[in-house]
Amino acid sequence: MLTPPTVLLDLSFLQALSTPAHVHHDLASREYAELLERYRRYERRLRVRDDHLDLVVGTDQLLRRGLFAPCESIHVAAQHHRGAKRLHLPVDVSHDTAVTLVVLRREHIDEIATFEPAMRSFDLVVLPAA
Amino acid sequence: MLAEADLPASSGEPGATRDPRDRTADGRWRVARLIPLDPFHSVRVAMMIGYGLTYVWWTRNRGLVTDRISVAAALGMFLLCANLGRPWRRWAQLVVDALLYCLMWFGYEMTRGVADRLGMPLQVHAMLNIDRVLFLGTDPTVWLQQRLYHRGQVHWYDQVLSLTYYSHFWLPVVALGVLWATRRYQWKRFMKRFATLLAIACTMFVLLPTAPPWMVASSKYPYQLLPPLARHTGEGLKSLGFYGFFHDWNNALDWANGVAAMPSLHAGFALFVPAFFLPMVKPWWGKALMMLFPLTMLTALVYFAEHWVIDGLVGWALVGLSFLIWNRIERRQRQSRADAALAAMEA
Repeated sequence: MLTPPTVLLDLSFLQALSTPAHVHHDLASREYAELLERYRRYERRLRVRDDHLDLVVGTDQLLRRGLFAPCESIHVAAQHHRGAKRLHLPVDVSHDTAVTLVVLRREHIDEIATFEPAMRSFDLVVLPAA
Repeated sequence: MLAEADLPASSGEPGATRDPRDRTADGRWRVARLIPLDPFHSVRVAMMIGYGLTYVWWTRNRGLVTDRISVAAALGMFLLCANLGRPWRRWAQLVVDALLYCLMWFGYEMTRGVADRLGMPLQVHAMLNIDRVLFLGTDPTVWLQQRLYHRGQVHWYDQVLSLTYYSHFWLPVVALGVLWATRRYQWKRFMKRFATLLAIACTMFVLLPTAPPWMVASSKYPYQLLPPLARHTGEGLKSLGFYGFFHDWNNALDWANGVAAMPSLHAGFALFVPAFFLPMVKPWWGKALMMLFPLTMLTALVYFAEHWVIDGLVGWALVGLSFLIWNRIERRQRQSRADAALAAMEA
């Protein structure tokens, strides 16, 4: 294995993780702790969409260098948004989720940490497991 | 996020007219069937295949690209093909990467001038003596040429060894180009180790200029420490029809650093590339097969009187060192980032 499998942490997961009052905070923290252990052993790469990270981190660089230090960002370009708009999916998803699906496909990622229920309709490994 | 009105018109229709192959056995939708790769993907693949075929044709008919500027131009064209239709930020990243790559080779070229100015004593006897100790008094190049080399004849092993020797000029570049185009994450890992190897080797070229076997045996130099040796490196390749290569190769010899024998980068690169990709190969025999390549390269280097055995062994040791250094640094980086994240979670 040259490159370990990648997990994409989506906005819903990042928000749950960074907000102690969030309803899924404990679940997200437990899952993230496990992912960190795998990251440490070079068994997983952790990646996030750069626009999601900007939304969650804002100007708080401590958060970027602390909680999200292991996460590599994926640049979401206009062409990802155009690709998402062209999709005809059989499931109701928001444009943002469609962009995430486009990113997953283009980056060959099939594992995602999310609290977005629609993601479970696709053949992805969804964390936390149901 | 977009409002409901912005959703695609067909969203929410639970797949009545969908192809059954769009679903898995447990009823989930297959991402690979529903979401196309970007429209330029097939164009990129076609252009890269076209580029590869042109490169082989060019090498056979016009000669192997060996000088740094031509190699950079060839690599640049490949990367243009490989990045067609990618986001602009990716292109900006590519420019920065390319500048760093050029800087690395520029540094490598500069060491030749430094070596000339510094005037460190040329090592003529040291490597010869080390090889004799390693082989219990035998000179491996002389031994190999006495048994395998026949003037005017090109054997199958001459062709194999010649091909292996010249792979030095394309194999690392192809590996770099493919990684650059497809897996930038791995390209960065490759480059860190590669640049470290090159930097240590260049330092050694400056501090330890070493005469290769062909030089200490040649009547054109005042040493003659070995019986006359053939430097028939290109004969095997020429017999395979790669005539165009030799014009460029002879030009390259004019500007090459003739006393940059220690360590052997030929041996180093021949180990570096298989060692980097080794984790991709699962069966033990596959790994063993890959590791035959550096052994074949070292045999070629010694047989063609290009290097001493110790040059190759040191080249291999430096590859091991560069991997060791960067494996350790990357492990520590992962460790400290994971620790920082855990600390932030507990805070």
